[in-house]
Amino acid sequence: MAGLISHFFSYSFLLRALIGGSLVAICAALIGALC
Amino acid sequence: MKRYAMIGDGLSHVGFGALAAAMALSASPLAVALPVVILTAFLLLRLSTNNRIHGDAAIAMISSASMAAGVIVISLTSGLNTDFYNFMFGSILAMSRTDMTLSIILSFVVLVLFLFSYNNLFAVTFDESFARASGISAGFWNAVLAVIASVTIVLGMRVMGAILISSLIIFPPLSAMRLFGSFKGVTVASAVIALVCFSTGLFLSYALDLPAGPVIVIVNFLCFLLFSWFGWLKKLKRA
Repeated sequence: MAGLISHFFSYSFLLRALIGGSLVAICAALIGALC
Repeated sequence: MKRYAMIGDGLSHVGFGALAAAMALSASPLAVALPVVILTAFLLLRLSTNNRIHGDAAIAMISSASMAAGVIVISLTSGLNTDFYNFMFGSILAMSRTDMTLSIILSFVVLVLFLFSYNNLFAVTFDESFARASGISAGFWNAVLAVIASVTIVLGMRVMGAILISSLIIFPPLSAMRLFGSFKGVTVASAVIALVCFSTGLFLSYALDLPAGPVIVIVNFLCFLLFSWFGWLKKLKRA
C-alpha cells in the first residue's frame, strides 16, 4: 500500500490532477450548497 | 437549496455543445465555452424567475438541445473520436498546468466570496424576498452565483466530463444535508466531503486501473449512502 502511495505521488500528472481536481470539486460542492 | 440542483447538469450539456463548436471552428475551447455557459446561466435564471417556463423544464429543454447540437457538430466535423469521449467523460489525467492554475484562481475567488459575502449568499439562497426587503441586491448575487457556477462547470468538464460533472455539484451537499441542519454546517461539510471523495476516487481509480470520473462518482454515491445511514441512526436516537 505504501509503495502504491509513493508511486502515485511520484507522477507529476497525477499530482496536478489531484490538486486541480480537488479544488474544482470543492468549488463545485460549495456552488451545489447554494443551488 | 434553491432547488436549482439540475442547473449544473444543464449547463454542462450546454458546455458540451460549445466545446464541440469550438473544436469545429478550431477556436480555444475555454474562450468559446465560458461566455456561452455564462449567458445560458443568466437565461435559465431569467426564465425561472419569469415563470413562463418552469426552471426544470427550461433546463431540460436547453440542455437536450445543446447536447444534440454538439453531437451533430462533432459528427459533421471530426467524428466520434477521443476528443468526443473526453468531452463526455473527462480526461482528468490530461490536466495541464494552465488547468491547475485556473482551478487555483477559481477556488481562491469562491473561498473569498464565501468568507466575505456569507450573509448575503445565505439570505439570497434561503429567501430572496427577505433578502430584497433587507436591501440586498438579489439580482446581483444571483448573477455572481451564475458566473461562478458557469466557470466551475466549464473547468470541471475537463475533470469529469459533461455527463458526470453534475455529480460534483449534487452529491456532497446532499450527503452533508443528511447529518447537518445549518447552512454553515452543510457548506463546510460539503467542501470536506468533496475533497475526501475526490482524492479517494482518484487514488482508487489509479490503484484498480479504472476510469477516474466514474470511480469518483461511485465513491460520492457510497458516501451519500453512508451519511444517509448515519442520519437515520441520528433520527432513531432522538426518537
